[in-house]
Amino acid sequence: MSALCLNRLQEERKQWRKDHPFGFYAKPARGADGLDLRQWSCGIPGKEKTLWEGGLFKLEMAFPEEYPTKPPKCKFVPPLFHPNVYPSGTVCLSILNEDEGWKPAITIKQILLGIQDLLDDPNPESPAQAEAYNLFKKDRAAYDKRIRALVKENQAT
Amino acid sequence: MVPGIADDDAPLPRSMREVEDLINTLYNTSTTPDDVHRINRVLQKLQRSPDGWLLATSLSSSANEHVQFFAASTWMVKLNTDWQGLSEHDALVLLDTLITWLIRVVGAGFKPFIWRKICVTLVNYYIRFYNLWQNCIRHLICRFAGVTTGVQQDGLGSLPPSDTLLPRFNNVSKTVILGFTRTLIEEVGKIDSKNGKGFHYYEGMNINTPDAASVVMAVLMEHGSPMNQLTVEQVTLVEEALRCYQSWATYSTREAHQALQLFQPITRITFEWLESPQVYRVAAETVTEMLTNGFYFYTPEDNHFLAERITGTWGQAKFSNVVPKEHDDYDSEETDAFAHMLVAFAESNLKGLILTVESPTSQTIFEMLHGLLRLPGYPVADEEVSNLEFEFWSSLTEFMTDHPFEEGVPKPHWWDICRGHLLRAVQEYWVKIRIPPQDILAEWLKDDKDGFQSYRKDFADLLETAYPVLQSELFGELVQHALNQVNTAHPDWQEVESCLFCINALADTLTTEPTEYTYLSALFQSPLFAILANPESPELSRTKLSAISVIGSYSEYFEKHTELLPGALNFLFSSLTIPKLINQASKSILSLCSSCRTKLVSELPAFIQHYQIFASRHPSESLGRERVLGALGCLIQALDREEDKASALEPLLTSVSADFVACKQLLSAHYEEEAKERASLALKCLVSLGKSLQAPDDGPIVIDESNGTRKHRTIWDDGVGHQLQILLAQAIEDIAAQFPKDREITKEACDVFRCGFTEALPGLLVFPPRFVVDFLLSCGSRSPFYDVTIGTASAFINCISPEGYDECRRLTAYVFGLIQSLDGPESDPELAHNILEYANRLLSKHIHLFLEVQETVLARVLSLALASLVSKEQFPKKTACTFWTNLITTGGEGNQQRMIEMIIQQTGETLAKNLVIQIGGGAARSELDNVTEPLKKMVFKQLHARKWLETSLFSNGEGFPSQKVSAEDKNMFLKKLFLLRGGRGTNQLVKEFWLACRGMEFSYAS
Repeated sequence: MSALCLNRLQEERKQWRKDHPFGFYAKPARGADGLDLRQWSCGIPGKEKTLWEGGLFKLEMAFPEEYPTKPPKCKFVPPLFHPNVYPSGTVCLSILNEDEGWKPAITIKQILLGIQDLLDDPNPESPAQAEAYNLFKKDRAAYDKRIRALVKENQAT
Repeated sequence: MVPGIADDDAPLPRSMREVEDLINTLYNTSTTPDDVHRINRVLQKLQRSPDGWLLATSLSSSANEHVQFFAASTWMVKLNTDWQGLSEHDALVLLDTLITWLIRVVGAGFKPFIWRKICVTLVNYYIRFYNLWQNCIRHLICRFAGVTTGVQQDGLGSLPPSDTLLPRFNNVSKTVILGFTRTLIEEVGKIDSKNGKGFHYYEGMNINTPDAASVVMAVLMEHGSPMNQLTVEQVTLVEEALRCYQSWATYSTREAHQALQLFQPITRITFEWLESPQVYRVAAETVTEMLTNGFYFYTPEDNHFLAERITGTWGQAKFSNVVPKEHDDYDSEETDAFAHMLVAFAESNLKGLILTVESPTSQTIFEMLHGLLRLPGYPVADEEVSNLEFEFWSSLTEFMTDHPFEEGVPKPHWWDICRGHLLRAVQEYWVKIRIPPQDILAEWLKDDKDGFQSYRKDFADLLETAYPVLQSELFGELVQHALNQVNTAHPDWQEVESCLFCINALADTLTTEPTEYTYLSALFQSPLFAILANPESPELSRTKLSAISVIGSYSEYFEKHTELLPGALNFLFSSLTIPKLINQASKSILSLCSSCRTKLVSELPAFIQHYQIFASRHPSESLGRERVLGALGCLIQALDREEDKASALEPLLTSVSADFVACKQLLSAHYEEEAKERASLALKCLVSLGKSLQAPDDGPIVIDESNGTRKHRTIWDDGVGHQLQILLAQAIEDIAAQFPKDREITKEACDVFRCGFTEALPGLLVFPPRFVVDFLLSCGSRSPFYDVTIGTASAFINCISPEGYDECRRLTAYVFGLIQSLDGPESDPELAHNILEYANRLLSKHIHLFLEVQETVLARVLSLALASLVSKEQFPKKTACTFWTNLITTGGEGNQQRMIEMIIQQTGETLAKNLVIQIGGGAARSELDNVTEPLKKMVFKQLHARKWLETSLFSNGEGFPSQKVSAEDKNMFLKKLFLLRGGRGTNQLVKEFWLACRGMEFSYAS
């Protein structure tokens, strides 16, 4: 791992441990050889006073060698039913796109908060999966119901 | 409503008096928000007008504080918007006005918010006109001292030095000078150093640094009274000096050597102020801030000096004062200030503390850190100190684990001592995470509760981090502690719960040391679970919940200690009787049954009984029932004989049938919503059962040895099993038909069928292909949920074997037949997308079935796939791209290959045209990679590709969407495209071409 990438990830980890928003978690994966700083497992809680409240959604963040010049890849595991999440689970969000809104100064905390915002506020301009997108557009009541079931299956304990 | 300002076009005030009246109304507490808004608009209009400068000057002479404040704000507005309009002369006059005004305001004893606002205005002035006021601090001091007038700064050097002048000032004047000095560095520090003028400001601050340092030094050294007997004014003054020091010191860490040199020597004086009871808090904040954010500012000697102070007489006395042993009598702000400083010190001196852990200083620091963890009260609700240390202890652990040791050489002494401290810290935290009794919990606000939960999770993280160092000793202690409680006459259940919580947190971190399992055995063999299973003890529910989680988390242990499995599962099943525990208990049941399926088959009859009781008591408990059925499915899957499977499944299917019956009864009583819920629940239960019946990923691989000959028949082909299938398929069709317009039911019913698609061996949900197709066709005929039905159809054909080909033909005829109902992809993008998805699967999995469809039908499919490429709809477009990519690259046998080739020759020109429209600017940026794929394949594989693409690129009018690229650009693009031969660089090339067509700056010449 490049020194820049490693230092930044260590600093991110420190900052996260010192201060992170309620209900979230984010930590490097533990492999056979100890920690893998380039692979984090995270949890994003649904925002209060939204349909998503009470749920906790698991996400994996993979940092490329070029991080922080390039953004990490964020993937819900298992893939999440959401208009801006690809069938593979990868999140489609402008701040995570190298060609769009990514800036090296964006922190892990900001990314996770950004994804939390996206949950209840999908962007119909860049759909990533047909199922959630079509339901969101065509039948909001059915969409909402799916979300409620999703929250129940993924309750924060 | 205020007269005269009813709307935005209201006339502006005509006299200064009217302006002053408006300002007074603005700040009057009884003014309504609407009026505040309107007045603000009028006043802002005035401020921005060319007369704003004059307005500010006039207002500044007022005796009214609000008016004065507004005057300063008007100058701010003018300096921000119109400063370039001022001549040098006017600018110098303005400087004189502002300074004279500041001196007058201070002299007249106006409130600090006025002079602070003027200081900010003066700093803003400096930022605009730094060349007119280079020695700003020195000049301001001389003006305040009255040794100079006006704005002439040439003679400042010959005037008495600042440190001679300053002692003559009263405390307020000194505070004002410091206030200005601090604001100056804070505001200038915000200017980007890469900004063109950055260097000038850097130089400007170098000029002013000696004056800034001398002001701070003068105040901190000569405050005029003993440190513990300061007047209110002196306290304000010293605090201002400390903050000013902090701002300059922070600035100096950004490569401002001059400031570093002059402010570093002040550091130790700031430490002395910790001892002043009145200034202590701000002094501690300054130290904390410098330790946290100005990491390299303190020299090793400074740190040494600070350590001595913290661990010396003052520090020890302060510590025992602010960290009491009793709960009620301490000032939390005093404690917080000390704690923040101590933890910041410990963090920034981590390595030194660890390596000298036996020194008296380090020992004291460690003891203090432990002391903070023993502070009375619950975390978050009562104290916010112990959470500060999570980072310290995590970093300590990481230092220990990362430290390189030589093989076979004993670990250094410090390592063992630090390990001891870590273990102590964990034990101290462990007391902290105890859940409070109900009466206390009831008083907590939501934030306290959330905060406490979050604290527990942070501690769980620390435990995981610390485990590689503490290992089984910690684990043993946790278990022993829990067992000690269990064995007393009146166990402290909160304590047991906190142990279980910790044990749970370590589930993924255990090493392979055998003692860990020995401890676990002691735990699981203890009477703990028997006591907790007692339904008479509802107050145990929190502990019970953690116990349930522990069982689920350690399924690996149970795989090796099967003798304990029935007991654990009985405990879990008994927990299903308590509604609050159903969620967690069903999760753990599923986890255990899934991992230990083969070991549990003998328990199946008993578990089925448990399930039946549970389902009859909680018929609507959807998730719980799904999970328990899933658990039972795992055990059934592990049975050897198909007959046994069928007979075990029967009672489970009966319970689902009961739901279908209940659903119908509800329907006939017109409880539509309730009926639907029940149907949905039953279908979800079937899906859960079906998924668990699937062969596990790590199960034996079945090699198909039938080799074309007929496989041996099982009960699923024509025996009891088949009968079950018939009944089940009918029941599903029947229930789905009750809700023809309901998407959810349709989807769930399809999901039941899906469970068997990927299975290699026969089973309950591995239905004969005819059943599946019949069901899908009847779904399709009654509901328009194409994504569900065609989606399921696509998944189905993905897995069919040759026996299913005829059924596949029926399905294909239906799916492709739907194209006729489409008027282009845009008329129903969802349907178009799903048909193309289906076509894709058929093409890539069963090419012969794709090619054998009627010519007219095939023509429709191709036409849809072509039209979708230029559609505005993203999903059909992306699927069409995959379709064409597949078609171009598909290899078939001789005849098939010829047919594909023929198709491509017929469609190639249009395909090229449509792709060119997309890369020529028609596609959205996010679609470019998709569109590039078929292009790459075409370039690589098709002889005529160049001709087709050339025609499309150079066709005039409708063919090419952009006028922004020249013929030369297009030629260059085409040349590069074919040089790349469909390689990876193509995506970048296409992106650049697309950008050029959209009109971004770009040249191909390079």
